[in-house]
Amino acid sequence: MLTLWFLAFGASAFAQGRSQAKVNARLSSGVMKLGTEVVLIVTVDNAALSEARPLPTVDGLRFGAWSGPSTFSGSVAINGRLSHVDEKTWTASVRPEHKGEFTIPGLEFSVDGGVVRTQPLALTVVEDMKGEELGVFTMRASKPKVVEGQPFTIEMTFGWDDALKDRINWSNLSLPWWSHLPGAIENEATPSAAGNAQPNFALNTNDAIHADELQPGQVRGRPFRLFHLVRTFTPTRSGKLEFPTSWLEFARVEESSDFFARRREKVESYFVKCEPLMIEVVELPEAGRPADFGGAIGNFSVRASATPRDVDAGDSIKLKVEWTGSGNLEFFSVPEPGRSDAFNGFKIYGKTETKSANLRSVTYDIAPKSAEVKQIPQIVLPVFDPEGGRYTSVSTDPITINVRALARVSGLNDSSSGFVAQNDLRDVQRTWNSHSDLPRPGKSAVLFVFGALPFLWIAMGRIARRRGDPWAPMERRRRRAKAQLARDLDKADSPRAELGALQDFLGARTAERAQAWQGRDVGAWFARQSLAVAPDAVNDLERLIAELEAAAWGGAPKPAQAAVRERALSVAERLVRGGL
Amino acid sequence: MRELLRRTLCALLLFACCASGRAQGLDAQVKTLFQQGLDTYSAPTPDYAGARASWSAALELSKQSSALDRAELCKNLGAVAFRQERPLEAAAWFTAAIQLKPRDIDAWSNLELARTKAGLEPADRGDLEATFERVVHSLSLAEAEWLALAAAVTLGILIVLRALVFGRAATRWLALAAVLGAFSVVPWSVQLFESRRDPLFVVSTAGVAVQSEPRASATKVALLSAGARAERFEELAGWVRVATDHGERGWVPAETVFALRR
Repeated sequence: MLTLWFLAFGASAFAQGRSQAKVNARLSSGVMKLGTEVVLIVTVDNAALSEARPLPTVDGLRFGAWSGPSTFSGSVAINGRLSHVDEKTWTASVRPEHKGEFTIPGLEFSVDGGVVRTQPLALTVVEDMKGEELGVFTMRASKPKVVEGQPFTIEMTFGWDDALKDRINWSNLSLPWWSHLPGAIENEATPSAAGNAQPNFALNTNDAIHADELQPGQVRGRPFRLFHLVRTFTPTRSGKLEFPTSWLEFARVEESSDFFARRREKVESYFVKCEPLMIEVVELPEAGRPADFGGAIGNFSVRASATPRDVDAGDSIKLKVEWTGSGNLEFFSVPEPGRSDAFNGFKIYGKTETKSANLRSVTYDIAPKSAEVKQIPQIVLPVFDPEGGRYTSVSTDPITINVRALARVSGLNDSSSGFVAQNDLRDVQRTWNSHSDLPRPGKSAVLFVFGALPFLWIAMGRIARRRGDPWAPMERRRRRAKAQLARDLDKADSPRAELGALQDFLGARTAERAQAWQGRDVGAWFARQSLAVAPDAVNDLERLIAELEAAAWGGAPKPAQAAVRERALSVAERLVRGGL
Repeated sequence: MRELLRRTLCALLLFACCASGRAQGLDAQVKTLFQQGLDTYSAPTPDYAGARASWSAALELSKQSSALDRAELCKNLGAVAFRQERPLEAAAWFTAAIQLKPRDIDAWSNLELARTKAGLEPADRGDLEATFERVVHSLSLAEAEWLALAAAVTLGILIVLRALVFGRAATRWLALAAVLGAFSVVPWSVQLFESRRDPLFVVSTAGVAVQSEPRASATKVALLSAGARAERFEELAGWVRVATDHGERGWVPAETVFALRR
């Protein structure tokens, strides 16, 4: 009966201590300026298992990914009652794309095997009229329509009223497509014009980027401070490339610091919007595509050079081919002369490449096989011309070379006879000499000798110790103890310190604490040990200890330090010799 | 009793004479076969098949001869295979010769030539692993044994000297000898381990499939490329049971592999 009562009480206490699971959602702010960001916060209390489900889609709102959960677990006292709390918190950023009233529908969470929906959330987004007036942000594409693989450029111009120049000290470019543009890869950035100032901007809050500062320009009839940012992309598939709404925030930030932290606070902040941009990417036409088309798209020119041009047959020639122009110079496959019949007269050893946005350079290592070769044939690159919408090609000019026959020059051949050495087998054995094998000592003999070594080591170690090996570990420890005693006595400035040094030595040699030698009957102790210590050494030790104790504790006159040192070392030497 | 002892001694003497006479007879036979092979090989129109038959027979008869004699025969058989445009088999013969006579420069040179012709990578690739392998195998088992024994004896002498002479120098010499001794044991222990193995060399130019059972229609469990090594476990008529370097076990046709232990 008592047991049942305890069980009932325990269950009720547990039920009181752990409340039912609750899910709450809220926004960090219900009203926001267009361009800023609010944080969606969801808290799940007292759930054993909980998991965030995908965020809903709301026209005009862009949600970031769920972050978290961060967890808190502990006991809290509410109105004198102790409750256990398990709290998990998820967060996600929300950025509006236009002004208006938005309703975020109930968010779904899996909680303890069921699905819980939060209450809908209202969000009001107002336009930053002042920001739109004081700032400017435009984005322009070099071409509205490109073919797959054809590079295009995005030019961004942004800035703010020059009247603000003394007040604005921080700005942030919010480019949601930056590093996340599906279907396109970013080309290597071209270096900016020399001499341009390159102020630093925050990029998507966490990163930083440099932009070229332009000469102040007129916007809406007022002088503006303007900046310029250019990026080149190469589309990798057909379809539509979307650059969603971007934002420029420019603000005045004041810094303050105290003992604990440094704070940055925006005291004046404006937002200006950049309209979204879309580029259409079309497929490369199949009709007329050459079999050896390597993906070159654009308008190219080519030049070639060869060094040396006066060679022996088989000598290496470096054929350098450079393509320039507008197009995907970084991405096409260069022609392979080895696949062309025109290069049958050459041996192709390989190639080295360098590539940049403005220049593609390849150096082929080729060697004419014979003196019949008179020129390096054309290198032909099939290209798709996006302007004309057709396939064409760019070719190098043939390069005349002078090849001398190998037989008349030094090389592998003998210059006079034309003899060519060849590799062949070394001749067979032509005489039978009966040998005899080296006799083997046998595995057992080797194992026996190696097995005997540890026993030999032990036996010889015993002999060495018996003969008083000065390098045996015990002997080295004795020497160290004596040296330490000498050092301690040199440093000792009172009979108490000298007594301490002596007791330290005795303690070290008997594997005891030094205190064990305080008040010990030295004679009786040595009599109990099986040591070969001379009795006079023990007597001397007793006397020395008694004198030092009398001087240290009994007020007797202090013995001379040099004499104490000499006597102590002498006693130590005799004790050690006696086996201590 | 004395009579029994006398008779036993006579019997032993007779057996020794017979054994010695038989050995001398075998040696003469081997010498004759060697010369026959050489004559057919060196004829103005060489008969490589004849040379091969003679030297193979000589090798069969010289099972009890010295490793150096057998190495010479293997080398000659490798030359025959090379001349018969069978570079894989030639590489196998030269490898067998090197196992018997590890520091034979001619065998090494011929092996590399045969391997190149067979499209295999060099036996001595020049990298760290290949160099270590070549150093370890540069001694025959007998030489490696003597080296290990010498190292052990030296170590023993230095242990005794250290106990008698004392001093740091003796300890240092002992430590140095211990390190060198440890290195000296490596070739012996490696070769001792390998002496228990029966290595094979794949001489089929297309490689050979390792099959789960010794029949043509059995499942193929692994592939051994031309020139690959395997280990022999047992034999049936026309089939050899092997283990590959990767641990797969199975059967391969006997004519596709070459036993390197000769």
